[in-house]
Amino acid sequence: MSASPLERVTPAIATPGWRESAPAAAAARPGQRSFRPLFGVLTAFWIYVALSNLMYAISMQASFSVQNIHNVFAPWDARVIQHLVLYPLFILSMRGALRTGWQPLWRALPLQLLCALGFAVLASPALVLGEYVAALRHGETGSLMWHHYMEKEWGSWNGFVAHMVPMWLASITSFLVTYGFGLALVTGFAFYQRLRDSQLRLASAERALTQAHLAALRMQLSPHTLFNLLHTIRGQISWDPPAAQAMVVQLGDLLRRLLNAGEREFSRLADELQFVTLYLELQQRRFADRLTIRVPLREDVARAWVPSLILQPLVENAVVHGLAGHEGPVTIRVEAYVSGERLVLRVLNTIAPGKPAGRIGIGLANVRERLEVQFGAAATFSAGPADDNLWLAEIHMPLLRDGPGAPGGEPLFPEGDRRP
Amino acid sequence: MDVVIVDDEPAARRTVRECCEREPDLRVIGEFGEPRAALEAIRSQRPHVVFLDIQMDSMSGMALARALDPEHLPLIVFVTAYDHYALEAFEVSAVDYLLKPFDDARFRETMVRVRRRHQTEGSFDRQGALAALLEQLERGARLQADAQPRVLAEAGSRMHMLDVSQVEVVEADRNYVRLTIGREIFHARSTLQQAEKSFQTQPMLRISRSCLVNMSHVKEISRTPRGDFILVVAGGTTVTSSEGYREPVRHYLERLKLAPA
Repeated sequence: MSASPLERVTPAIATPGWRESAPAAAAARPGQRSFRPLFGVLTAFWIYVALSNLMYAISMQASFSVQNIHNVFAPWDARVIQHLVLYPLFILSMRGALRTGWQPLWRALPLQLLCALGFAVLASPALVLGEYVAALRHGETGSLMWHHYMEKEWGSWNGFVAHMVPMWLASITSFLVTYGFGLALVTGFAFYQRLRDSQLRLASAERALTQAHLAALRMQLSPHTLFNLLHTIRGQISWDPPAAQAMVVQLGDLLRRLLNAGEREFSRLADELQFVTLYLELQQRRFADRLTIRVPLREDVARAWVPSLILQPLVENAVVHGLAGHEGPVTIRVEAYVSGERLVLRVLNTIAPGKPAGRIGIGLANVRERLEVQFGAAATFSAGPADDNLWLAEIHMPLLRDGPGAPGGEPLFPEGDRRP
Repeated sequence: MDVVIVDDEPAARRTVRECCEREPDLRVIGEFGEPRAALEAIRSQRPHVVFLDIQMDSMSGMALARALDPEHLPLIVFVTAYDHYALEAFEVSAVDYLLKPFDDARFRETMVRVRRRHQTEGSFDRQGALAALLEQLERGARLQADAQPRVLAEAGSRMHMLDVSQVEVVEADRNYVRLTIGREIFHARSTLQQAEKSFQTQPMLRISRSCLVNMSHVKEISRTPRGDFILVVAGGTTVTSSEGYREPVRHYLERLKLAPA
């Protein structure tokens, strides 16, 4: 029943508004997510690593110095240079590791290990370079540790290798741990970013879905009613042309209002009641003397806002329900009043006494769903027999007022000025 | 009164003609399916009333109306089917219109107004009314209050449908946006990006990552010693641009020749 022919008309005339939220813009974002925040995290981590290594070396050297052991640890400036040299390597290998990812594991794991080793292997050579540069700076290459050992103690290339290789291996294992910590940190951070992005995307997608859904729910003039009206008009064209003309004009008004209301989520209650009146007047022409309608409008609620076309399924149901199962007259009454901060909308129709209560139709289920989406628990909807010969459908929802009037003060910009 | 009917559909012309024939004081002196021929005829024959269809293939009714001699403007009754913007423009203008489909009753109602105008209005009034209508159409009925987009927002336990043109400042606030109107603060469930879309009809300027200002409410602009812009809106709320948005704000204001030193 929801496949009203009018639904196809709606998308073409949709207005910009909340409905067209920004899923497209949100979807574009994660693709362009930059490395920059990760870069910041890595830099902070690396400064911490450099400082901790430096402090460790200085404090150990200090305690060794007490025992007159010199030059076990490289001087502080050499270490600073080592970490400066390693910094771009660290960032590059981290970036490589993040790009590689972990899927599929059998291919990613060797690449990740390669990345890690590539970095760790260079830690010790970087220190040697640092020492060399530091010594050059002080003009005392002779005091270089390996220079010293090379000449005095190892005496040969084999001696050098025998001493340096264990040191190198030790530095690789130590820097692998550092690398591991860095990678864990940055992976966690990237994961968090992705999670946050996907949550944002999900929220806006949900919103878009809700809006599309609401638009579909608004269009609930049943095709049954529409074609019955056309058929009534077709009959009247031959036996009462002026009445047929009047009905065509009213139907035109009804469709125009339906399309207008379909474009917006909310309408003024006065407009909504006018629409309902128009609808009921057309139905009145179909059923001649049987239908009496009462739609009083109280001035105090005329400017309140209600979800567009929310009353239409209720009056449609009232007509069908009221006329069914008997031949007598039916009165339909639509009421609206304010109670505290709540707006109450009621549609009442007389029913044949003793008639079993009907089931709740699809139109009414849609009313309930729309209220649920718009207001959650703040709105309620009920429908059922009020007494032996009265059926009542009732909506309680928050009272939606206008905002405050525009405050005084001279604006700097003329009205109608637009953004660039 | 002499009447000219302009509509590219023969059946639609006939409907208007039959309506006119039932009115003793109306005399149809011409029917045109082609707007340019109609324009020539109206210029030379000077009818009192013209029924003018808006949606025609070769030339719109609006363009035809604009091309008429302002000194000898006939009473124009625009005839239109469904056109959202045109409808809103007509409702606020002093120009007559008929919506298709119409019946004798609607036609007579319109003719009552047309006769009254025929007796009281000069061509000056007609020019004014037509100009106002055309301007309104060009603006797309943006100024009509109820046509403005609205946003559902809460203030305490009260809920409001805020007219976006009245909102002065829009700020991101966790899962909400905070909307300022005068001294009152409202919250709407939305992101700033979504809110930006709802405020498309307004001259909104982004002055920081989390803040949009409706420039039509700004009444004072000054600068901090660092060069950031301080904007005061009509309701008294003060907002300051962030460093990252200083240049775009300056550019925007300079374009309007409003940037303080």
